[in-house]
Amino acid sequence: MANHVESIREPLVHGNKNLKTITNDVLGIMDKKPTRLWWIGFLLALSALTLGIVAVSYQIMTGIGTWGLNKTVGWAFDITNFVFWVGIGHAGTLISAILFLFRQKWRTSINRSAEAMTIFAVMCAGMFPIIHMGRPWMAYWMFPYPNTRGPLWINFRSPLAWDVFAISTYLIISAVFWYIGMIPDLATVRDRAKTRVKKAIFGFLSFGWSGSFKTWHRYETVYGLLAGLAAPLVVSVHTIVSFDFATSAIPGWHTTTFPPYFVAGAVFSGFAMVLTLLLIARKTLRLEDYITVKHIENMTKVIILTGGIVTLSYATEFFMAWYSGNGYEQFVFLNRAMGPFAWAYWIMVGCNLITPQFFWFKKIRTNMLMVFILTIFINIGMWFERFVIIVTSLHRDFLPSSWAMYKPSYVEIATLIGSFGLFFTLFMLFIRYMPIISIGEVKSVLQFKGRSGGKK
Amino acid sequence: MSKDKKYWMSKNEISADEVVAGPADLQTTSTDWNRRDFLKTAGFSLAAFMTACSKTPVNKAIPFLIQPEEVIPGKAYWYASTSHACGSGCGVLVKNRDSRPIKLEGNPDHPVSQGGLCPVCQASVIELYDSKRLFNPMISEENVTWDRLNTNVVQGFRKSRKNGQRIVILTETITSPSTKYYIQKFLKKYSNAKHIEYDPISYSSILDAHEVSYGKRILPQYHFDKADMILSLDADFLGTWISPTQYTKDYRKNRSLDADHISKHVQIESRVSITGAKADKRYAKSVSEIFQLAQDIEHALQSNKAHGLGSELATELKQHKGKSLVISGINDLSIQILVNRINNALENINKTVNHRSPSKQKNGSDLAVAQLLSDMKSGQVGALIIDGVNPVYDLPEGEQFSRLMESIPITIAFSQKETETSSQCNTICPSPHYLESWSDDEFTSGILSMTQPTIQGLGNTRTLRKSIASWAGIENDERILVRNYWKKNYSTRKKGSQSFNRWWDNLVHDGFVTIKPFPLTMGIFRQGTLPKSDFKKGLTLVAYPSLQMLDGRHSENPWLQEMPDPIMKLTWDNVACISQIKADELNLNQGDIIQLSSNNTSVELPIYIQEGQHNDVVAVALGYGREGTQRFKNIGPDWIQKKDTLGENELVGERITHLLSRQEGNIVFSGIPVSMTPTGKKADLALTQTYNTLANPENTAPPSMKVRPFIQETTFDEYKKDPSSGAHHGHQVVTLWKDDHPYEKHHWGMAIDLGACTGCSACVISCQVENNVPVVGKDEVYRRRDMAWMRIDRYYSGEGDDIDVAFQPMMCQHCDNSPCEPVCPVLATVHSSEGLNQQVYNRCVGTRFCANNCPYKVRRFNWFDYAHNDELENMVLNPDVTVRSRGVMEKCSMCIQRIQEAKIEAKAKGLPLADGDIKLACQQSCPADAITFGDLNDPESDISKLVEDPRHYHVLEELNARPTVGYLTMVRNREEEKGGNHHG
Repeated sequence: MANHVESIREPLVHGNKNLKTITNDVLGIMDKKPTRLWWIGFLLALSALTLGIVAVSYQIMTGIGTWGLNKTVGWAFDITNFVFWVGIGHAGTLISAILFLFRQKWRTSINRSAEAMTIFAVMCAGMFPIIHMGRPWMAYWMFPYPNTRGPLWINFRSPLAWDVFAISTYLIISAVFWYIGMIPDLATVRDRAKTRVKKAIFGFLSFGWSGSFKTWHRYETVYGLLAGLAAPLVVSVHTIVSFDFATSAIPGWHTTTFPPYFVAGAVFSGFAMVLTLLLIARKTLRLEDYITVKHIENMTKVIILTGGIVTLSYATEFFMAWYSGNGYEQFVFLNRAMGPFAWAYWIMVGCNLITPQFFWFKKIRTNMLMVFILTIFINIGMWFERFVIIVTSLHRDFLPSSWAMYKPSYVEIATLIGSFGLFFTLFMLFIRYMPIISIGEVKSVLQFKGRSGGKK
Repeated sequence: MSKDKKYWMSKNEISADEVVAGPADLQTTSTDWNRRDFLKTAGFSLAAFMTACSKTPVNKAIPFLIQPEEVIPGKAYWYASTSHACGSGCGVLVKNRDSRPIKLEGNPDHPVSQGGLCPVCQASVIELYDSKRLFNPMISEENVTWDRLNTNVVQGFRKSRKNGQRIVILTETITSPSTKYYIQKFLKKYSNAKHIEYDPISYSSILDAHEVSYGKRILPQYHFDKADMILSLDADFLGTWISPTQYTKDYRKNRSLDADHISKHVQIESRVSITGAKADKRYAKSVSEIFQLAQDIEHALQSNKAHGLGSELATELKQHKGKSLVISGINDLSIQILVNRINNALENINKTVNHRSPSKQKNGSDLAVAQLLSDMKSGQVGALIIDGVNPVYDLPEGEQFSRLMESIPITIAFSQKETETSSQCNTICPSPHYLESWSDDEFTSGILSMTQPTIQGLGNTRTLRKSIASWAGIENDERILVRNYWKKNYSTRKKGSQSFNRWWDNLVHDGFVTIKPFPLTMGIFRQGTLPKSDFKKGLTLVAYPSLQMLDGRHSENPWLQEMPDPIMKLTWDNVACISQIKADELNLNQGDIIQLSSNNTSVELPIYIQEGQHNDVVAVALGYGREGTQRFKNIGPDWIQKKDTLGENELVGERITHLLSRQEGNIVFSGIPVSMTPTGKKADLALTQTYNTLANPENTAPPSMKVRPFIQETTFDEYKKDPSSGAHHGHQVVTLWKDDHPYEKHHWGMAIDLGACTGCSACVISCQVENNVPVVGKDEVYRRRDMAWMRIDRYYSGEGDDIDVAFQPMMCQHCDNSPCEPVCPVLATVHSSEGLNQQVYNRCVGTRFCANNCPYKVRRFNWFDYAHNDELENMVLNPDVTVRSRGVMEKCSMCIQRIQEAKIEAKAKGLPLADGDIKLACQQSCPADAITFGDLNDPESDISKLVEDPRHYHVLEELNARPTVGYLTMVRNREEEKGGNHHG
């Protein structure tokens, strides 16, 4: 029986691991001194973050005028970055919550880092709605709290108000889910700790985890519940983000297909980003046994699927523009493909439509370098998708008298680089100081000799 | 407007000027002022003023020890006065708040301006508060007292008399009878003195032509309201020519669509002017072609032998004998004589061309200045008094003039600001702004306009009148000088039987009076011989006064510099306009800098490609490149990618007057042969509109919408058949939703008549002044971040030089279903119970979603903290309107402050608000009366009637935003619509 299973199912973890080696492999990273490669990566990320901090501080001190926006194009890099980063987050939640609920065992070795990525991405994303405000020091007015101004409430009809709820909910649930899932591993770190300080810190962080059956039982119940709570967020958050555009009156934004289109795009870009990150982590941290080619292949398949949905959405938009008979709508799409921002549109099409098609070939799917390069293209393409949606719709809307071009300022470019800096700084710190793979969960899918791992 | 408004007779009557601190206290240029600093300074200045009072003999400043009964803090009071900003002499009402003038509006009762006011006059109020004004008399750059100056000057005069040299008073056209009188006194005292008048934008040849044709050098009064056929040969009479506001008012009178027929206006022009844009038919012709055409018309009128366009026009003109009007704006004697012959042949004299009460707006002679130059060359001039003109800049021979001035022992400049000429003068007499001085002016024969001070003089200034009188030995107060003259000369000419005192009081109160004009006997018409005119073919320069800069005297006015040219939509620059074909021929693109050479001099200018312009014409605006515009170096917000407002010459634009030449003594403004060579450099043009038509770009135009239907247009004949022709209405959208807003009391609405709007942009400036809209500088405009609440969209249709131009004033449409309202997360933009879309500045956090979602793109974001550092300049701010801070959105409020004021006033009186009680800033200023505002809930109101008018339509009706601003179709008086050329 066991042999039979083994021969069909490829093991999820390679390299003849046992419980001890897994613990050592994962937590060993935290014990060792950081490698040179880590330092290079970390310092690069930190420099980018510093640049971003300088840019944002300057912008907040001087005004939004330091961006390239104008009276016609009121959003560009700011909201592009926002939607891009929110989208990135979605893969993490999908892997950790939805795949958990579907009992996809292969998720175990990647869910921790994917979730971490979600949180960092949402942090990056959350920064933009705040700094894009003319008066960011008044950002708290976006929350409905009892106040002495009447009380004056927020406008519950505004999609931006919905965003506030969507993003804050998302950040809270993701963080809690991630943290709860990490408690058993934190306890393991505590148990292995050699210094008092480390023991004390991780002792606190692991909430007195005892590893008893009862604890595990409670833990799994909570984890399952949280997964259940997080699962709808995969769909809802980007749906609400898409409402920012869908509920508006601007042709190119005013589209009912936006929610599924955005969700698919988010998962598409999120998986590309997870792949980019994991391929780096796998290589530099020597985690090939845990993050196997099978993982990579599975994720590329998700990309093929979501990439297909995205392609369909692009086609639907053009079809609907034609079918609607609405001249303004038709113009916007012709203008996207052939107007002054056509270059951005064709970058988007090239990256998002053509790139995923390479993944149909197993040879490419299993070639890690190729996968890495292709995912970078998808990341670029998905950033441009948001740029195209936002800027090309705005820059030539109804009245030709107001038509304008948009060109980013140095400050905006520095802010974009800074957001990547923030993301990678946090990620570098995470892979250094936290258990990057969920030890407890990986152990549960480990195949012992003569036994199948993870019955299903 | 005039119903309940009380005009104050004079400053003395209410004595409210003590709170105005002197410029010395306010000239500080420190950047950050908070409320406390301001109060401190204000308090200190007040105290200093009250205790010291040593600056000027202040004999009428009385503090509010006892509050004057009529003056209520926070309530504006109005003076009737006269604007001297553009030279056409429009009557104005000056709005004063807390003793400072803050806004000018056309005086509806004034017979010249009839309530309209041009953008230049509107903007001139800020020049009063210019801290760079000349505030003290100076000799050789040293401050002196007026007494010392006078002694010095009189000594100089005596010396030049002794040396047998001339004293020359060089001025612009003097319209003030009292000034003329004191000049005569002066001339009598100094027999060697001479008075020369010239106008920088010269009308000399019209005057000369009348001398040839009728024996008298006059500028006739043109009656556009009486003309059924108007043929304008390059005269921009709705924009800049002689008296545009008056002409616009008159022009509109004969274009009422209720009438059986309306005037037909044919414009022949080389460049594109707003007058050409309004014309029923416009032809692009070069200056030599226009000359030929004028000859053809004349021939055709006499012999019926001509052919082509000339005979067509002549035939049409003949059908309107006595009811036609031919004018030309080309400063050329032959053309003007031809125009006189044509008008005479058409029997228009004293019908549409009035010789009986001529215009006195322009009287200058180019020839006299040429004569002066030769006198200066031969060393005959011993003293030169200059007022109101800037010959070093204005004249083609400016450099020469400047050199020759050096050898004149005494050169006196009367000026408000340092100019190219005043900096060459050894004696500086600072002039007051017209809002702080007395004057009387006869701009039109028989109509006397009064100018009275509306603020205590900010500097130690004197008018030419006072100084000349004092040099002639008559010492008196400015007011007394004017009044005495009147008492002496007008007691007999006044109408009615009032006593002089009474009559004078009424005159000052009303701002104008009509008197019996002196009878004028014109000679019999003489054919006259045409001087040989030599109009070159090939590329020629047309130098024209732009609507915002005119001759350049207002070049230091930031509002005017940032006012988009109605045609080009250009700010902060002058450019060389050429046609697309010419540009292709020379392989030039917009913004390429070329060198324009003529008369062995040259100038470097960026190229602007102008649709509809004649291929052989390079049109360049006058009035740029003025010294003094260096002040705009630091205008606009400062940040790392900021670019300079000034050009390579460290000035705004380029001076081109040195390219001009003379013919028969008259300055030639158009038709000067020039050559163009590319320099390889490029410039950024600060345009507020970069896409020029309603037709979608060819490669992205969907088949269902080649042209966007925002300008709806018809012809007069079509309109008479079907009044709704041209207005395409979308289907009424049915909604199941309950109305959010019941509008129980008022529901404000506006309608704009596209047929009336001339694009003159008076509303744009009026809105800027009324609503404290900041100036942002060239770079910000280039980045498409101008802050205007009200803009005028301009669209071309047609091809090559045969184009139509349409204007569409665009501001917040105050939609009943506003797309901006639901998207604001913090409820900073909300709907009022009266149908206004209101922006709450202090609630706004600046997400800009509202601006993105606005289909009309009328919302303006405060990208930076815009400068309000100049304390003196801040006095012009309207205290009723918040100065917005950085990071908040703003937009047209439909002058909510005016609505509130009228409502409160009505309530206080216990009367219901009547239609017309509220006049918005844009509406009030409009010389074409294109804007109507009122209550849609009142079925009897003008606006309700207009909404029911078949011409009425909404822009983007199909979006169901339900705007309350509507437009009336444009109606042109032409045979048929051009196939495929119309706007949709």
